[in-house]
Amino acid sequence: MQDKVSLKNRFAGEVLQFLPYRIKHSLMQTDTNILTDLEEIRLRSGKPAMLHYRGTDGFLHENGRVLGRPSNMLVSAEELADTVYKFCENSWYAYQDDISKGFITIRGGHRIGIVGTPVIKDGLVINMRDISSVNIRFAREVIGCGERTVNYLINGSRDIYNTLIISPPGLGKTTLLRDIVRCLSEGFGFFSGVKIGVVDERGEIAACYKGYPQNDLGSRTDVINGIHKKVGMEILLRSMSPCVIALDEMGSPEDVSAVMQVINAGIRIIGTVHGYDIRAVKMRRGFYELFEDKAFERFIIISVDTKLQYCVKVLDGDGNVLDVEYQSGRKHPYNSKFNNGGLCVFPAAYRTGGMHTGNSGISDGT
Amino acid sequence: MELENEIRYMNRPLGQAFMFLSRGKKDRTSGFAQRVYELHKKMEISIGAAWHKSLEEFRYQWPLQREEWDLLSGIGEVLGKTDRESQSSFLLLMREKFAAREKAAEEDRAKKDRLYKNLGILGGLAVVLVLI
Repeated sequence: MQDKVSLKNRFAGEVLQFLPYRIKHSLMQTDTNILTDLEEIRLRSGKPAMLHYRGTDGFLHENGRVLGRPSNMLVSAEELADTVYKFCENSWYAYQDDISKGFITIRGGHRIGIVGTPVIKDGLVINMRDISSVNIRFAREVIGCGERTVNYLINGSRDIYNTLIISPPGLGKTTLLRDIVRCLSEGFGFFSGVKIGVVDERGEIAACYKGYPQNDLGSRTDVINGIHKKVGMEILLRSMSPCVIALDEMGSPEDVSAVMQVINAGIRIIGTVHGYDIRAVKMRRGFYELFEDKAFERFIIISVDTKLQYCVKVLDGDGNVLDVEYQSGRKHPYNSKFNNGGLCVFPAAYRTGGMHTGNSGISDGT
Repeated sequence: MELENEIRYMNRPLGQAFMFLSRGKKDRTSGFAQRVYELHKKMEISIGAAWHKSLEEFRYQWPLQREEWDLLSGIGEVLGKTDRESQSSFLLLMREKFAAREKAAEEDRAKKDRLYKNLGILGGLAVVLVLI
């Protein structure tokens, strides 16, 4: 219970203080169990504030209750603009580049998604005006969710296999990648840790805030964030001489060709990609060459069944199944089940009060 | 000028920018920057509000005209509220306005200098005339 209260206070310090007074006041009266399970707060211009928690959603009422139908506490466009301005530390220009990409990362690793009317110059989005929706996604880090999988990715005591993590959106590719990076960086068992460079283009892996990664990526990890994957990999190669480069959401043919160059340079790669299976990914532009060259020696495929049971399957480069792990789904760390011996904790910034043991289910991609 | 650098080239949020501007210096402007930072941090008020509050505190220390105070006050209204380019051109415009005010003040001072000098000479002559 104490943890829940301290977690609520941390949310208040890191997120709620930036929200419009009415919403903040209302949220402070909301049931602590809901607040600590919050995944998202969505604010839309002219609509009531919506909370997303435990896989469901509800609308915030003035008295703090969460209703199944829209409440009459509507958010104005001015309140939205003011909220974003506060999230930007009263310095719109300092977050301008992030806002152009559609999101900013704040202390604690939480992501604020922003949409409105983009301002375009020379074909590029340079700013966002008339903000219409803000999505506050609470960051959750699942320490231990990759501890079993990582055993199949190592090649001796100092090397790993090139690995591709495949899953549809929202099943926890980034969360798994993050924990694998942490394990490989710190080392475990007979595996001595390796130097890892992380290209965090969208700030989702490390969630850097003012240079400090808000998530634990291990002691041998260097992070370059907010930069295109190709450029980021080139800089890391030149400046940090990593043994492994980790990157999230490879998509474009440019990403793939840059990965090929890195692999040819003798650097190991761990990447993620949207997809349902190896065959679907292979069909995508640019990936065919990677598969033809047998660039990846390990595949991790995440899927989910109707009972929210997550399946993490590890395959070798020829498609032979090496391991299948089942993890129960989106349950909050305070739930009593203790899955896989894992520890589910909030980002490093939350951990001053100690770790929260609980379910190691893969969270929703934050 | 330094604030413009912080915004344009360092891309630091204003809170940090004021903290950096106040470090290691002991002139009047760094004292002002420090006060803005302190008020923003400790009282948890916006940078705009901290700017205005600091101006009020420094009003009796800086020998400025009303128009100059109005200009300074106007800066607080715009700081941080636009994109980098706009912030930069706004600060440049403000610098030009202050330069114009400085030039006008210089001319005014030179004019008054001459006036007082003439008054001094005339006064001296008057004293001499009275004495003889």
